[in-house]
Amino acid sequence: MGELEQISRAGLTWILIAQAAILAPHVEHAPLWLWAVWAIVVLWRVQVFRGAWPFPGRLLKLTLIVVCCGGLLLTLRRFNMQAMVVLLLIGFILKLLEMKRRRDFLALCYLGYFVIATQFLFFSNVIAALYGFICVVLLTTALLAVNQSLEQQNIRRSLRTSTGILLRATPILLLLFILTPRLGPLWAVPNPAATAQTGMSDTMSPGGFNQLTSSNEPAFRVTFLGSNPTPPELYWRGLVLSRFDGRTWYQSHSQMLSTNLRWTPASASEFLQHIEFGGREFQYEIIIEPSHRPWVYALAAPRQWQGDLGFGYELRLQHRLPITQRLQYSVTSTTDYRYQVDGLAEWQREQELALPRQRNPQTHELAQRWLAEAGSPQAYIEKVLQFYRENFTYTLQPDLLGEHSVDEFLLTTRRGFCEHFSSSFVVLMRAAGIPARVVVGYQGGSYNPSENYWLVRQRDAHAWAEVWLAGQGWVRIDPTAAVAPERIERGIDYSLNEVDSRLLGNALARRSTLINQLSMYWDAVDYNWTRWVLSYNSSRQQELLGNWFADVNSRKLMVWLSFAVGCALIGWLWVIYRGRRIFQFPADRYYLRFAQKLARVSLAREVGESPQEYAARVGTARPDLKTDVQRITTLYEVSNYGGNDKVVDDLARAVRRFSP
Amino acid sequence: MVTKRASRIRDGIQRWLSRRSPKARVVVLRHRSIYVLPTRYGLSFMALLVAMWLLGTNYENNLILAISFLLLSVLIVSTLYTYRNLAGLEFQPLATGSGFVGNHAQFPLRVSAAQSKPRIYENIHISVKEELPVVLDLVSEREQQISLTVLAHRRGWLEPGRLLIETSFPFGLMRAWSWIELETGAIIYPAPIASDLPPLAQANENYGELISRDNVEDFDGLMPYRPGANLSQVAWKQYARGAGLHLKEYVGYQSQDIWLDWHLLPGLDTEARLSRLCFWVLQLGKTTDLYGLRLPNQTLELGSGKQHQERLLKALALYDDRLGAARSIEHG
Repeated sequence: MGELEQISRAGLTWILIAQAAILAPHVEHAPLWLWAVWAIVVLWRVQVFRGAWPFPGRLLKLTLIVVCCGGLLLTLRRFNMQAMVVLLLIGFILKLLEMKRRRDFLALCYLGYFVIATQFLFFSNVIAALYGFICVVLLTTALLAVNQSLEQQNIRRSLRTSTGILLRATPILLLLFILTPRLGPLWAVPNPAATAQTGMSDTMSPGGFNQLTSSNEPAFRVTFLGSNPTPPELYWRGLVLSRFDGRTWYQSHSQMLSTNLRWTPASASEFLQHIEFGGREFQYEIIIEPSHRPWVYALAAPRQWQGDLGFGYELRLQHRLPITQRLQYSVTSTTDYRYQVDGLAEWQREQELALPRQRNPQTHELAQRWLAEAGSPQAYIEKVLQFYRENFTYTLQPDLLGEHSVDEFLLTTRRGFCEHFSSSFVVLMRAAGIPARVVVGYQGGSYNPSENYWLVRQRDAHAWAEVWLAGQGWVRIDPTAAVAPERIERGIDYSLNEVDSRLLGNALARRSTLINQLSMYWDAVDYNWTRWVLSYNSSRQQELLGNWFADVNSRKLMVWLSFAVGCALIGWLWVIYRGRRIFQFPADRYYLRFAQKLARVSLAREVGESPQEYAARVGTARPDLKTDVQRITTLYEVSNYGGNDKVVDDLARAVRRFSP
Repeated sequence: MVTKRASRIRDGIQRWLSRRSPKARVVVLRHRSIYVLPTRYGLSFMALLVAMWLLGTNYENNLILAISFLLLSVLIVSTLYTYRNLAGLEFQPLATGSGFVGNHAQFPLRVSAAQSKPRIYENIHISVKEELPVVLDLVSEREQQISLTVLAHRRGWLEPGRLLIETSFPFGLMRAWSWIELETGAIIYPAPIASDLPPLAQANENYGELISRDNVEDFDGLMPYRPGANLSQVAWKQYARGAGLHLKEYVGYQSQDIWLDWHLLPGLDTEARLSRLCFWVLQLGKTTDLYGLRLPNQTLELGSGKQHQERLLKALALYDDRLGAARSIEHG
């Protein structure tokens, strides 16, 4: 096929529009100088089209490439995925200067499609998907425009045609999306750049939660498949911290070791057998936002789970790899459980009682005194909670604490939030010889009634305590609930004073129900998008296809198969019939009908007999028909050689009236 | 050996093609004669899809997978569009063409959309042999007249051969094509070669009685021939008698009867003779003289005008070419 070497005005216009649209989402993670390069390149290419400037020479192009790559090295020191995307963008931009012929144009379009795909590495919500589709429409229009002949360039018609093709392609896309097997990663790939790590850290020190509590970002969303628990029950367990250095809480070594995690249900039973499960059971699905950490959250105590999750002896779940994109997992938990009632191992008892010797001496003394006064661990815990209830204030702006942070907090400042309360509470317990530890995660969440799910945000981050009591096992105790019960019952928004609310920046959102409602609807759309589209994986696929072909027996299968074959057959026949109608000339059809009528009186047309010969033969055999036959034959020949519609109509009428 | 086999394969393909789309007066492209395959751009597009699919699979990113599926669907749908861009096109030759050896012969065609529903056809390339393709669009109109040109290598009846009709609309990813053969042709006249003097029959030889001698007195006198003079002023009869070239000097022109004779070009082979006769037929066609043509196997009577000239040229073109003559008669 002859190459159409020229690139038309319409083609250039569309490719520039498409390129602008495709590059826009990359503004955030591409260096600024790239946009200057793009502006220069576009200007140059337009001037080339107008005939004002020549194409840049080889030396200039080489310089541009070197400058861009050098700039890339300077601005992004590490070669990660982001750098690869920027490299792709550089190619996509500079190729414009090389676009001389149709072949270059197609190469540019292909690069463009790939760049559209990479934008989904950074954005994946509904808007990003719609935007990506628009980009595909624009780029496809450019591809179409360059394949139209130069005389027929029409910008609007190109857009209409390409949109039509894409809309017709959508059903096939859906089918492919649902049915194509998902293989899972074939080899290791560099992760998307972890620019902003939001979410829980694996340590807890005074002030560490501040960043989280001021963040409105979602942490994860939960759908309960059966009944919903009440907000005070929603303690989303993430990490268990048992090591304390006097100021900061860490995971102990045994908690950090991934070899201590059990990855299969069979091996997890080693831990699960120590749990006495009650009857209050919840089954739920969680879609967690990327945190670039492996922690996942679940209600205690998880009983069953699906996903690439490991189970720790401290009743927590962890993902195998850091979570770099939205991830879905499902868990079944029993909230009334008793764990390790039969006692702690010696090493564990030691771990849950350890305190740094030289720190917080006043707390140690206080604990010994109160334990002696109370008499039993239970009474001691009650006394400590009473102490919190009466003397402490819940605020997001606590005073700064020094070396003996617990002493200062308990005896002097007495203003703080969950991390201060849980930390000091566990220290008080351990000082009194009661095994205790800190649990961090999230508490509560806002319920979206229209779509029946809970949205847990970063500011729902929470820390609480767990103590081990003989005969009861591990018991959750939340000292924050003692200070600010509304924090647990109604959520963090209702537990704050005016100043703190302003700190969170959500005072407006709390007052305007309209905005609240809209944002809730929007979140519901986003949630469903994630649930049904983004997290559609091989297990979902099996589930879905399994539902469709549930309990397939051979008879049912036969019925379905014959139905499908029947449909295909009917469709095929219809296509053929329609094809006939399209391709057969009307005149031929009427002439054939005429010959069929004659065949009934045994005057069938012979193979290879021309219409005139046939007419002559019929005329001799049946002189009475001679006039009609001659008229029909003439009409047929006239209509075949440049006749108009009227002749065909006459022929049709003549054939209809003809009766031998 | 190899070339023999290759030519056998080529013949086989030709036979198969003529079975699938036989030569006809009117050809409508339909599924039997349309072939669709990806172009090399289509193949690289598939490679792009594989790369995208790998990216989506490795990052477990459903949106990247979706865009690769979307582009695959576009490829599938565009295959149908490419096919539809040829299906239903009707080709009909308009007239028998003509031309001279060494020039391009014209084959006028009418291309129209055969089906009842109006549909757009875009960027269809129609080519014959190695000639540059003609680009066809049926966007706002339902039919169009195009003219294919073929370089004529030899005299006689020229058929354009198989027409290649191809398109890669809408995206250049798939190519649909069809080979069709139309019952049409062109008469190729010999290449005119100038000779200084026309092969004129002498008056008093075998054919002399055919020449009328009536209007001798109509001119005043003879002038010596000047190169570049109007041919209608040349005194052919005097020349035929062997008196040399003279110009007739008279005001009112009267036509002369002139016989061009094959036998008066001795020492030349057939094609050279035909070329020279062709030149003089063209020259005399510009005058109002009555002229005739004598060939070894036929004699064409005196006459003048466009049609007469065409008849003579046709006789020269088909001289000693029975097959061509038969074909040209078939086509009227």
